[in-house]
Amino acid sequence: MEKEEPRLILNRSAPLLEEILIFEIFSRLNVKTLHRFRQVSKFCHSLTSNPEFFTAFRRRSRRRFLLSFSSSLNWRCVFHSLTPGVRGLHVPEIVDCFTNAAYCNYTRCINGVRCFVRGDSVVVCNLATDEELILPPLGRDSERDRHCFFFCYDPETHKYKVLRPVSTRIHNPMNGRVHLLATHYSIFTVGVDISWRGFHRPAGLYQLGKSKSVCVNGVLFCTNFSVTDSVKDGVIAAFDVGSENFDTVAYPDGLSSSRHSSCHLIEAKGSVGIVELESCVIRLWIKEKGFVSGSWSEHRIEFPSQWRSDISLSYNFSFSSNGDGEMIMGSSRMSTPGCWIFRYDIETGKWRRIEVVGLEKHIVFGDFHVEEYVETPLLIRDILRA
Amino acid sequence: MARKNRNPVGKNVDPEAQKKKTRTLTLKSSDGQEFSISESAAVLSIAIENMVEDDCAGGVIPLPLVDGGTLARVITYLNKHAEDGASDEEKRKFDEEFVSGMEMGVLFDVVLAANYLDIRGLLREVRRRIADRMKNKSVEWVRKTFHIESDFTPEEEEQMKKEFAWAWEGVDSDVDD
Repeated sequence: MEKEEPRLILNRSAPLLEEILIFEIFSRLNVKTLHRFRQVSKFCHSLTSNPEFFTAFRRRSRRRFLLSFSSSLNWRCVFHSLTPGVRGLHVPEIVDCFTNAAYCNYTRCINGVRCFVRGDSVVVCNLATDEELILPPLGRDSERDRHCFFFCYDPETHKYKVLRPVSTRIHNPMNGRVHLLATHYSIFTVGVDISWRGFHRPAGLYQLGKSKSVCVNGVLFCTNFSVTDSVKDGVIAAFDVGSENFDTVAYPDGLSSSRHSSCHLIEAKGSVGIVELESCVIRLWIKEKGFVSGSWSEHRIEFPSQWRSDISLSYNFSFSSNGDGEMIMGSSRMSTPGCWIFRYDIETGKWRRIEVVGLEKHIVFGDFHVEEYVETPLLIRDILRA
Repeated sequence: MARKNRNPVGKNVDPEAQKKKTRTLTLKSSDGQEFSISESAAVLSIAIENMVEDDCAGGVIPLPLVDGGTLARVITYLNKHAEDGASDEEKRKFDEEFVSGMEMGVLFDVVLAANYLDIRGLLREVRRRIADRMKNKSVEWVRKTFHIESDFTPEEEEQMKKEFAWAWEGVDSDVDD
């Protein structure tokens, strides 16, 4: 485009605000408003296009909670957004762009970008700009696996990847039946690959819920990993997003194997954490120094007694974390409306609670998930170019 | 040399802090108006604090970039934030009311003054308020309000408007607030 640096051109004699103030104010806009005002002048466009601006913007972005669950109305996934206030009841807004399509499966957001499956396609979406990138379809053989996929990010190369275990139809000559057998993985690097790349590692990842996998610092951790060629009990998969190598991590000794499938994975203190809830005690194990080799440190967290009625055992739970070092715990009733969001500061041990009301129309079912979401001003084409 | 004290309204009864409360400074605006303010309130402005510490504050402090009306507003803010016993909740409520009635032009004057005087809390509040008010405004409105001239060609503008159509949904008509 322009060789010359765009300058701030003022149409009256007195300059109104200095560049730094325009930077500061523009970095406090929401994504939609920002993209409109980049059209004010070439100066505004270039000021708001550099990495320094994006960093400031992200830091100042107001955080929201995203709630998702299957609704009793149509059995589809419904997304709600909620801006935390100081106190009181919160009525979430329905997120329009997500209600008109049957998203049967989706991943956690990474940097404001979400990945989901719609029909036969895997779609990468910036929720703030409502832009979508539809990835090429997989082959027919993999139709059974469309609900099993993982979204991950490598901070070193700024690349997003989608990983899918693929099953193949195997004809069993003994009984004449056709079986689906997980045989390999397909992977797609957003902005680089034109088609899915297969790589032949025995596929052992099965996704059961949103909080069963987490991508931390370029490593995707996932529970529900079975190692067919090993007699060892369950392990956690640790997939290095950059090198595309699988490693495994053992569960903490203190977590009994019967709980391996019910625990949740979160990011905690810049590392990976395992959360387990039993009656009113939460146990959190955090991997110390070094993802694979480090040891687990155990934290015992008492759930505040005044809110214990909000977390009856028959409820649905979701665990995630935010950039402020807080654990986000969502709790929802199964068949009557009612939902709470709890925030726990891992450093100070302080709990906060938000009561969510107004979900009456949609009775919450199934895979209930709450996460904190920060808008990204990056357009899909910026992500592709990164 | 005086010890740097970023938080002059501490709970401990420090004799230095007591002195600051009783000592007054005089600030002089660009249009020659003079305002008396306690030192403990004035030093919430990092720029004024530095002047006081470097002993440049003998007599009257001239502020050639701030007019009287704006300075009066800024002083109201400083006095509230230096007030003994004002809780955080009270200050938050005050901040909210302080900026909510201001017109855009006044917000600009205050943001410039807060930037010049280096009053972090006020700067944060006003910048956020300006950003909030811009939410549904048109591109034309921003050009007019910020006095920024467009250097895009009409074709480039049309192209961008088409490409970013989603960013134009729900925009107010060009009526000033």
